Amino acid sequence: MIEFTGVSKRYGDTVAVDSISLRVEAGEVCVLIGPSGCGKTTTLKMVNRMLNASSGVITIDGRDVASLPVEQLRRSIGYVIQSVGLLPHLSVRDNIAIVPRLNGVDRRTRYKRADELLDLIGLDPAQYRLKYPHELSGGEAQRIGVARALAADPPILLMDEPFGAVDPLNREVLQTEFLRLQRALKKTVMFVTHDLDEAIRIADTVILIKDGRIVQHATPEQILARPRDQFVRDFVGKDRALKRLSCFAVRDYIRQARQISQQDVAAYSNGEHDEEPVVWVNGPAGVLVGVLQRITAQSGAAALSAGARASFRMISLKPEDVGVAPMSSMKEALSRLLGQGMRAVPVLDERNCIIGEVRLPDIEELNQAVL
Amino acid sequence: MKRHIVPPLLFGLALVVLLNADLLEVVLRQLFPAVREVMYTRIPLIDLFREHVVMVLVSSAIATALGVSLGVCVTRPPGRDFLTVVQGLSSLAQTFPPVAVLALAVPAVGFGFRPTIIALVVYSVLPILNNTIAGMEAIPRELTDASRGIGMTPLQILFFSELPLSARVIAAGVRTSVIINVGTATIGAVVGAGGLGVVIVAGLVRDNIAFVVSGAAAAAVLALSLDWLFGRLETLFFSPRARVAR
Ligand SMILES: Nc1ncnc2c1ncn2[C@@H]1O[C@H](COP(=O)(O)OP(=O)(O)OP(=O)(O)O)[C@@H](O)[C@H]1O
Ligand SMILES: [Mg+2]
Repeated sequence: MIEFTGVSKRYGDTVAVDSISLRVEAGEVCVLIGPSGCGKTTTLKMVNRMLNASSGVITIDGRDVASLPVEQLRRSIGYVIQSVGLLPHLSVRDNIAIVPRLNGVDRRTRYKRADELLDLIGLDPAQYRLKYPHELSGGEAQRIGVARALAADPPILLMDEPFGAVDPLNREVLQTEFLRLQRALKKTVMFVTHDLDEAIRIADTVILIKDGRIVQHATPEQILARPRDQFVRDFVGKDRALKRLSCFAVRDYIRQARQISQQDVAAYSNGEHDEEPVVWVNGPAGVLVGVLQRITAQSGAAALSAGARASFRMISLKPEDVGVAPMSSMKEALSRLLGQGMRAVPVLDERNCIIGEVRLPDIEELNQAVL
Repeated sequence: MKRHIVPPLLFGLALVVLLNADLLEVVLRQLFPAVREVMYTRIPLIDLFREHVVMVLVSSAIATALGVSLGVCVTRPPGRDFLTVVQGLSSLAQTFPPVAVLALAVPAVGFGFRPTIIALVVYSVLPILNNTIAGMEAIPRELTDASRGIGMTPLQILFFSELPLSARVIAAGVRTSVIINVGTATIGAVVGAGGLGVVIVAGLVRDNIAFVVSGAAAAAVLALSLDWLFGRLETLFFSPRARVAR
């Protein structure tokens, strides 16, 4: 647990951080966000005493950071920065194992640990351990930076725009990877970013800072639903209702789906039915192949004699185009809904078989919380 | 690979000819048929060569130790105030003729080896000092910051990151100063420190071109071989692995 009590940082007359108090619970990802120059980096750097607070107290698990020997403090806190800062003359494994080396861990244990960490961050040790930093892509270097921060298994991670220099596509990959790691490792993380979408994705709580003061400290969902003031409203943007949907996972809103198999389409079509929600059609092996559409009065009028009651037809669908996974966000579900012009989207498993569906009214209801 | 064999073969051959009295005499007679006495006989050239090498190595070692430690000191926060002063002083030292340093050193430490070493050190410390400072200043701030953030002590930052990162530039300074020293060490002869200067001075005094050429040629071959050696060491140690990222 990290706690700030009335912490300020002054540079001469300028106040970079103005009497901040906050608390980051153990195992929580706390994201600091705000306009450039608002004091995010300064706040972060005071935790591992890269900067010393001008006033106030910062404690880690109740112990004042100022009371600990500074190098020992830093070795117990993983530190990841945008420029990564790998040592160019050391191999990847020596870079990863540098903190254990400073701590006097023997070479064999160190290298074993480096391999473990390469595995953990999803890079093949055999391929990467002997590479040099200049042989890595930006994204790979950034992962090695994370591995280095984790090497001594510190309970706390400080990350200052770690994915800021990576292209959007790779950034998303790194975020996903980070979330996967965080679920396994449960570190206490303070994470600085400029990118609201990144904050929404990874944060348990978000701290919005302006001019060195905390404007709002809340969950991403709360910040988007109830911005405290006009500044927050402007900062999160006019599309906050939409952004907020990414705070919710499809898995929590799955409803039972009506589904029939392909052979039964004709029979179903000839039967008598009430106003149905949506009926999905499964092909061989239960894979989604289409959706039934009611032939409306106008379009069906010509064919509609007294005896013929065929009132449905199947529209073919490509599962990968219409479906969402349980882990997807409700924003993605809405986007699929709008894209297909339907009232529900199918929720599919890895084999493209239907688990259930997400319905438009549920999304609308979610949005009623937005003020 | 073949190209690397040629220079050492050439230097080796030249040294064999220069340091083997019989061979040298044959060559010098061919070159200077008009000179009656082509060989300096009081001290074998090989002994003078050895003395020369020792002077160069000792003075370069001292200059390196001095230059690097001074350079490190003035790039630490407490020493930073002295940066310009030290840089100015060492530039001044290089504008001072080594003979003048010699003249000043002799009354203090006597004749022979020691004043020569002092003169050589004073004269050759500048490139090492300058390169150490340049190498340290060129290290990206993020890198030292990252090292600090990891939890390195100032001393660990120096040895794990700053010195390895600037080693290449420092080595280039050492290379320059060693080459300077090979030439400058010939003045040692004036104060009785021996070395290849002895034959050259004797040649000048007796107006014997063969003496001058044999001394100068030996010094030149020494300088060229050391330069080549440094070049090889640099490629061995600094490429392609230690190329600084970005
Ligand atoms: N060494 C310094 N001397 C004087 N002022 C400084 C110093 N470092 C930072 N500041 C000021 O402190 C304020 C906060 O800086 P900080 O680096 O924490 O901002 P930030 O929120 O991280 O910005 P960015 O998003 O651009 O990284 C800025 O106004 C900056 O100008
Ligand atoms: Mg910053």
